[in-house]
Amino acid sequence: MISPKKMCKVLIIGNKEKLEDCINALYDLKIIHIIDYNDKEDGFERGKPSKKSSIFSEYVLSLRSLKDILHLSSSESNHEIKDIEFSLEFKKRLEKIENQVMEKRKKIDDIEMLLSDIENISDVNDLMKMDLSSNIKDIMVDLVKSKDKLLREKNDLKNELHTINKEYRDFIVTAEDFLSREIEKAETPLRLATTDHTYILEGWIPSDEVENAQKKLDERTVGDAQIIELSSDEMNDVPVYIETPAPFRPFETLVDMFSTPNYHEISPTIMISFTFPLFYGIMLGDVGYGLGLLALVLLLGTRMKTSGWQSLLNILKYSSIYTLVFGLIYGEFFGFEIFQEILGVEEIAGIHMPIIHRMHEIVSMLIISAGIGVAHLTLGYVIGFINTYRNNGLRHAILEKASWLGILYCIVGLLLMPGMIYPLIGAMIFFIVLLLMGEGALALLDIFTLISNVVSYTRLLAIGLSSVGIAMAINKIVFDVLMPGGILGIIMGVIVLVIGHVGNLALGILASFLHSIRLQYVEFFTKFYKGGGVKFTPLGIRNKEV
Amino acid sequence: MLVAELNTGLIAIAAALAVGLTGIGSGIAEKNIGSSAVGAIAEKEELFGKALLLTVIPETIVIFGLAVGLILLFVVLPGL
Repeated sequence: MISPKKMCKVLIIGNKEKLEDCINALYDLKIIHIIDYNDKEDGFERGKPSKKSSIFSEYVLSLRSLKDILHLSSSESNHEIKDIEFSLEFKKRLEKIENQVMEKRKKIDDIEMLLSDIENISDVNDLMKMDLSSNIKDIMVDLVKSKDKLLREKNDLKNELHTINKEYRDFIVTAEDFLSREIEKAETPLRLATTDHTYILEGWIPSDEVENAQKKLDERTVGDAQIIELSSDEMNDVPVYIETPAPFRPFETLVDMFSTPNYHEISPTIMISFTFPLFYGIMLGDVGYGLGLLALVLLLGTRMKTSGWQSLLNILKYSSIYTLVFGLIYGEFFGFEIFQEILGVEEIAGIHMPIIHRMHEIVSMLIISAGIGVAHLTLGYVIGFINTYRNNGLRHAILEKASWLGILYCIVGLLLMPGMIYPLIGAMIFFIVLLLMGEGALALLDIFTLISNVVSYTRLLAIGLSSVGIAMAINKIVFDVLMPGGILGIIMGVIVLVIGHVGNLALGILASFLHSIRLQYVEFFTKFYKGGGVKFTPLGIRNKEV
Repeated sequence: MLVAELNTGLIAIAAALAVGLTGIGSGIAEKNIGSSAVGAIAEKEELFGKALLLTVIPETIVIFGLAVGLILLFVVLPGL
């Protein structure tokens, strides 16, 4: 869940005649990350693609151009991919659709060209004045007059295309999908080494799947293919496969945007999926804006179906919930104070409302922000400690990570308890000595970076403050200045109110997102995260699905 | 009395300088990053997300300024 799954390097060896069965079986299993054979050893040569691949490629090419013209995307078909009969009939059907579509497309293009020419000579009267022979004039006048007719024709053609689209959409999308898979299978031999009679396939399989894979391969190839586990000490370039539970998966995108985790470290995805929306909520924190963001996310969710958009929208969905929660804590609704100004409630269940008023309790918000910063950095160093301990041993972990944590807490202690100055400075010198042993003299400069890291978390307050400030200014302009000014004032007031709050919401969404992600990347990740891993992409899962 | 008012004024000026000068600093830094980012996006549109993120990195400078300004106004000033 947090660490990458244990991988095992394997060779699969078998008889060349059974290669296709083996590839089909592996393709269905979706567990092997193939290492491409680079054609360097004597006696082996790269495999040849099966004969099907060139015919299939042709089909796929025409299917893709059809998809392009008809504006189809792969997600439009929910059909199960089934075997399609690649007989003469399929070929004929494809050609028929292609001819129809191409013909119509060409006609539309011609008409559009004519129309753009007509645009240039649209004024009939100008034509009359020109010094042209009457014959040409007549033709051109006719042309201009036929504009409506041409437009109608173009529309008809477009409608016909639409009918074709409806009728063959499933066929085109399903066939393209199926054929792309077949091509990938047919081209897999290019990635492995072969001799005259055998093939050797090198790759990574999750350790706990090896046994199962061998069993399945035995069934499909009648005991021909053999998996050999390599007990290699070199664990370089191991593909990384982390089983993130579904609710946290959108946040993988954020981590991958920075860098894919490497095989030897803890993946920060789970941590981020709590801290990212938390920071977002602390910054935006307004019930009105939270509802606005949630509505926007739900609206876009029905339109944007690509996986990138979906994970972004899911991240924003979590963030909007935190925004609502913090909106209630701050008692803000589009810059207004809900509890005392609107509802007239002083306390709920004995708790003074609002719990924190951002504009009035700036100092306590500053302290809370820095406190959150110290906690977040601590988490970063603890993970860094575990990573270093696992890979380089306890000595390195203490010298390189625990020393930093110690220095951080000494600085915090000096601020909180000025009375304990001598013991704290003593402790700090001890930790600095550890640091010097671990990272060398240059690390001393980074102590200032550590302080700026903590101060950097005051953005949790600052970004929010600017957003509230703008919202309050808009409300003041509208309700105190414009609204009392009669009908015109009310109209102007409504316009300013809507544009102002929509603009402020847009700024707030963007700024909170960027600053929240920045705190993760710059402040948090630098404490432990190395990245640079290779993503586990097993045969059978195409890139767009990953 | 006069000294106290003078101090208040000086603290206000100090806070204004802290926010204003760091704002200029962020602006200069973001100007350079922003123009490079636009160039990068023009060549490769997928970089939009990363470019946007890199552009706001120097905003930290003005946030430091704002933190100093807030501390001056809300911690130092009431303590006088």
